[in-house]
Amino acid sequence: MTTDRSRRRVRWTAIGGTALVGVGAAVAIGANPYPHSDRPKDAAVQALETRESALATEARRVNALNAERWASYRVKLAERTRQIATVKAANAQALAASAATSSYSGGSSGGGSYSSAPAATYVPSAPVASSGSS
Amino acid sequence: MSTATHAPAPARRGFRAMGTDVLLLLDTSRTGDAPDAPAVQQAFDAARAEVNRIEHIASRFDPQSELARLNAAGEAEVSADLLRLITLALAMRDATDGRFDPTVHEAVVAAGYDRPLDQLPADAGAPGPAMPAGGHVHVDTRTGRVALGTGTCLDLGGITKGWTADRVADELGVHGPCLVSMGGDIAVRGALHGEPWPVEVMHGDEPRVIGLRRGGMATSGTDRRRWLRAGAEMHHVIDPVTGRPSATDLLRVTTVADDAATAEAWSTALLLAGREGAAHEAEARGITAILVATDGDVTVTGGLASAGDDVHGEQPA
Repeated sequence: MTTDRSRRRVRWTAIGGTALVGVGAAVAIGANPYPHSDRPKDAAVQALETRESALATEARRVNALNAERWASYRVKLAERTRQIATVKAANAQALAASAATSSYSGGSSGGGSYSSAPAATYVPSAPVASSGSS
Repeated sequence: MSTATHAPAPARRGFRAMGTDVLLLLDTSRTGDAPDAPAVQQAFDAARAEVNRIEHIASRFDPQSELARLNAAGEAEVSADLLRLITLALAMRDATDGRFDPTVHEAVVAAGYDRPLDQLPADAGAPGPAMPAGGHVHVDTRTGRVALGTGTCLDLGGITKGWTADRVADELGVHGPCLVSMGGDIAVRGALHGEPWPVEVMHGDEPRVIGLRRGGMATSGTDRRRWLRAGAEMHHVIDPVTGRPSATDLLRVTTVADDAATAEAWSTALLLAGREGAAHEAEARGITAILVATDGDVTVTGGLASAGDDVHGEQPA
């Protein structure tokens, strides 16, 4: 019995000692006794960090510029789309009016009809261009 | 018609490109812009840039053009513009039963037209052998890949000017009614002060004015782009069947169509059909055309025939 109790004490002592050493080591590492700031930085690493910082700044600047230009483009696009719609509507209106006034033909049936205007007719106007062998 | 007489003249810009005279007309009466207003000039600048851009794609004389590189390589993945141009040219070959054919390149070169017209020698040796066309062209519209058959090269000169007139008119038309003329291949958008655009064409030796309401108009003839080879006069309208400059009895054909590219292809096809064939085909297809024979006889078909000669003799002096 005495021998068993002695062995158990030794075992518990060993476990406690091991735990103590483990906790001590963790505390020592956590305390960080050799901070990086104390070591001189590698020049290449420092250059890379500087470059990274500059690139990050540049990226922010480009993104801001991009956003600004997109916003400007969208405004101009909306204005352009509106202009195109206006011109197209006016052209269609003029074309329809022109077709209606020039293509009316009184048919022999007496009713008369509006047909789609022929694309070309002879006119007595002064020419603005000429079509010759190209 | 009086509005056109008293309304301000359209803004105009002329320049040389694609070996011909280019004319841009823009009706600014609706916007109220002066012809020299920055907006008008910017529109003309953009139109000119578009002409130059297409020329750099489709010229057969510029070795750096996309077309020249395709001809040299025999196969290439081409740009969307060249793909559309080639596809349209091949469609017109089908529509005209092969009388319009973009594979006449070798025949044109054999006839001596191997450089810009103003650089051709006054005379040169005998022309090369006849080179019938009908070459094989495989187009994959999904990938944009074009493959030419052995010995086949493309000459898109018979359709590029009309196609360019259409493209430029689409862009310029955003700014107002316009007319674009690529050496006489004409596209219009909108009406000039509410009236058709008055365009002069030759009826034999007599100038007549046609009001072009929409679409395009083009003229093909053997009276222009001529040169000498061993003392014999050659011209640029190649008969795809014989591979030689055409021996048609028509001097000039003017056609009107929904767009200038179609008009240009049909004017060539009807020219090659000869007087009787052209008149028959134009009537059958309802094509508006003016056929001028080498003896001066004029035949008018389609809408112009039905328009009659109601204004004959009223041309301005």
